[in-house]
Amino acid sequence: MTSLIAFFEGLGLEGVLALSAAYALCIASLLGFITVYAMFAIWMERKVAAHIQVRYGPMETGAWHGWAQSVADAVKLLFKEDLIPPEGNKFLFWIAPAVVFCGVFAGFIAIPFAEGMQIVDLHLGVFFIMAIASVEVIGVIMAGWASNSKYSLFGAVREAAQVVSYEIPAATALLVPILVVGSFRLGDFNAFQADHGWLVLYNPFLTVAALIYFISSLAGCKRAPFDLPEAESELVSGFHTEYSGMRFSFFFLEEYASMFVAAALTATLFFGGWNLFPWGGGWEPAPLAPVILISKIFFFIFVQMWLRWTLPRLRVDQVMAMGYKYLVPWAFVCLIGAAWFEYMGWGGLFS
Amino acid sequence: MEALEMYTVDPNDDVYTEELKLNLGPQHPSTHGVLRVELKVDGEIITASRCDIGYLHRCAEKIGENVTYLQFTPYTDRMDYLASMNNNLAWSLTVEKLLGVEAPERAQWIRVIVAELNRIASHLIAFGTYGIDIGANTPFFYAFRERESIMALLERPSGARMLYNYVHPGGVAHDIEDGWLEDVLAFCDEFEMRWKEYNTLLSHNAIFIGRTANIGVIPKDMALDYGLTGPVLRASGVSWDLRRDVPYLAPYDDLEFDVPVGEGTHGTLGDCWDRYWVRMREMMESIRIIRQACPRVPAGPFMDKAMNRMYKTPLKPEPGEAYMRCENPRGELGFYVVAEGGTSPIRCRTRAPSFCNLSVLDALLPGTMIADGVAIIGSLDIVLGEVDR
Amino acid sequence: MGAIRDYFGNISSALTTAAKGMRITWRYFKHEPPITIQYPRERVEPPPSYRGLHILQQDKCIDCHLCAKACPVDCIEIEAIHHGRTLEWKQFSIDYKKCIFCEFCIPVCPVDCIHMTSEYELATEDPDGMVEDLLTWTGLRPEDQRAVEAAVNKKKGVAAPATIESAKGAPEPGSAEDKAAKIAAIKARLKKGSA
Repeated sequence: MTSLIAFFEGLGLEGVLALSAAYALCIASLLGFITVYAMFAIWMERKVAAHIQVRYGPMETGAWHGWAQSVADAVKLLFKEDLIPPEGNKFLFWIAPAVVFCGVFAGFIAIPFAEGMQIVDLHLGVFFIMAIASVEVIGVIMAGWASNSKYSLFGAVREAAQVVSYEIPAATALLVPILVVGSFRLGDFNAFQADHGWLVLYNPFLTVAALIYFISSLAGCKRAPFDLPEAESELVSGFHTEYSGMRFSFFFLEEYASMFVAAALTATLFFGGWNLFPWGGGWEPAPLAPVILISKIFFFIFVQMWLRWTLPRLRVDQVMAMGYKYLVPWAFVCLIGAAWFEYMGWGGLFS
Repeated sequence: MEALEMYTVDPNDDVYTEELKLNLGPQHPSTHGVLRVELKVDGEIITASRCDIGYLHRCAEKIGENVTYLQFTPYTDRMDYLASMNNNLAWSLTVEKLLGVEAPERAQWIRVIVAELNRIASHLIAFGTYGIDIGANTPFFYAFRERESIMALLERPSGARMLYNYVHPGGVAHDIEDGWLEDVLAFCDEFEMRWKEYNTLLSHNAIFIGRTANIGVIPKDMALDYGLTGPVLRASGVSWDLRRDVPYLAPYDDLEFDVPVGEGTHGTLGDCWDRYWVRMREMMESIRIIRQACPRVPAGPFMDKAMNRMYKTPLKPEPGEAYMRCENPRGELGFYVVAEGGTSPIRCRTRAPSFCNLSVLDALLPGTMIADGVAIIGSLDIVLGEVDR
Repeated sequence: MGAIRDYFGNISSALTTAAKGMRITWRYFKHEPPITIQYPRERVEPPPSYRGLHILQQDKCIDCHLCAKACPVDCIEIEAIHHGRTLEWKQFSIDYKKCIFCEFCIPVCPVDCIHMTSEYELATEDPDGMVEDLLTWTGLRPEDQRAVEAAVNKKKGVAAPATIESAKGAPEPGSAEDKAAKIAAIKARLKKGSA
């Protein structure tokens, strides 16, 4: 960011102007990145699902394995009629997809893809992402309420209950690496893991914490087996049942974007970030760093998809039971255990 | 039930929530057709339900009174469209009983094989769609792959993939071709392997068990009171299978097979998991039957010589009545026919297993959650074509 | 104690069964080729007994209306003027909006002139186009030949059921050589069809 501002200042722009130009460029590139990524992820999801289910998936659009299917779908969604339920709250209905998308979009700001390749290097990066991602829930509740549909309302309430509940284990599990590294800044995690190896192998509590965070992030992203807010066989499409066209595509985009953020956090905090090998690194050439990180992220996205096409869905009370009876206590066990290990000075596997 | 007692709506309560009316269907992904269930829900918990059927009513029974006995066979296809062979079989047996004829031995054995194949196909749909109801999409595709093999097998003698119209009064419509039985046996071997996979993927999955065990419990007495039949009855611990107890086809007497009953493996006897598991085991029993039956298909005619006339001149049974029931994949399918001497019956009535099994739904739903409701509807395995006829 | 055992049992069963399931889906993802076909480019060849669209050998037809009477849904309309032994055809149509492909019109025919082909692509944009005029028959196409042959074979089977091979694979005594050859030919066709 600073370098971008400097770049624009070098072009002759001054102060606020350079700042705005830099921000505009960042936002535009981020939007572009998310859109392209989401299209790819949707295509990937369909292909993964198809191949797990012994079928081909999209094959026709675009010459090679239907690569352009998502593009075609996006174009279709753009031109689709924008239906607003006449009895619903038009304003909330209109603004909900934007609110939903904003929360996840803001989360991207803090993700470092490489040393310095980050829009804002926040000192409270992890905290910021966790906090800003919760905004999404408000949007979902708005969508469910404004749709004036009972199914949508059910979906929204389920989403609210689920996401709020699963933020506790997720945040607690994230505290474990934070405690070990001693920083909230995402860049520090990469630096720490370059010296000490992947945190997931640092001590057993971190391994469990990684699992807990991953499971909680599934619930946070509304991915199966926690896809209750959408729950196709129960609630038709849950909170976005009444949405169509472009507004629907924002919910879609949000789901895949939040998957990316969750996978990025998992990769950065537990699986070495841009360090290739489990025993540490720091030697990887800088241009390779984003490639390593993004391939790790895609691995976790793949695991999310793989899980989705394998597991049945939990019931709403089981989701709550799993959160409060299993994940929360174990997350605290991990936190205390890791603290104990740190206090005793028992270092990691590779340090 | 416990949940209902625990959670009653009391307007004087501190936290009083209003009941919400929720329409489940007729256009809903998991009502297996056009079933409409009016639910009263309090939050996620169903407090009352009312089934609304009839969206697929096609006057099948009335049509039966206006077409000839043979011509009604394709209409029976369209009742329980997932088990056409079994429907054809029940109707043909009814007409045969009315006429007092019996199909040749070869036809009987072929009937056993096609009926059991179709039973597997039907249970595969039950299994696959149940997975979707619970939220696992993938088993559905695996189930359809095996069903596709069955359809390809049944297509060869019958000429159709789903609405076979193959079993006719007096025998079967066409003879099986050379090599068909070998292919059926080869399918049996493949299916056995796949069946194990289904179980690892879905049946024994902890989430699946959590979703289905102890849900929608039908005790033995209740099952008998509601006149349930088929896997739904057997899952409640009643060992009643027409194939064994009232063998309507002679070969069933000679064949060795077990009748799976529910055991309450993962909870209460007669819960959704038991119903599911009875179906899964029935598939294996059907494979067992087919394995025994294939080598024993004798040579000979596949259609009664005298009955072969019916294609050209309609059947004219003597005045009388007949009721015949068969063990369909969904339960007892019965046809009641009254003949008055003409070419079509004056009364034709169907005892549809799905219809009778569905009657228990309103008793099961109150006190469960919406997601459980979906699981219960799925576990009853209804076909709306048969419910509404 | 039981509650604690249940608690840990739940954790372990959830993890192990999920892992087992994931192993299966992974195997499918990695190793099993898709079983679906790319429809317009690849097609399933239906077996010769398939009940698809009808064809009428109108030079053989004697306008007896038996097929129309056998039809459970009354979808066959026949109209012809008899000039002595020759027929002046007005109409022989099947309304595929009604037809249920039950095949009852085939065995009734006294002269074997109506057959069902393997044609299964029935989709049309125009509902009126679903009333098929069967009088457009201009002679047997090679693909129809098969359906006719199959139909004739079927009828033979009805007439002489004793000659059918027993399922144990033992050839029926006294069966002619050409019969075996015919069966082999059908088998070969089937193999091709199912591939």
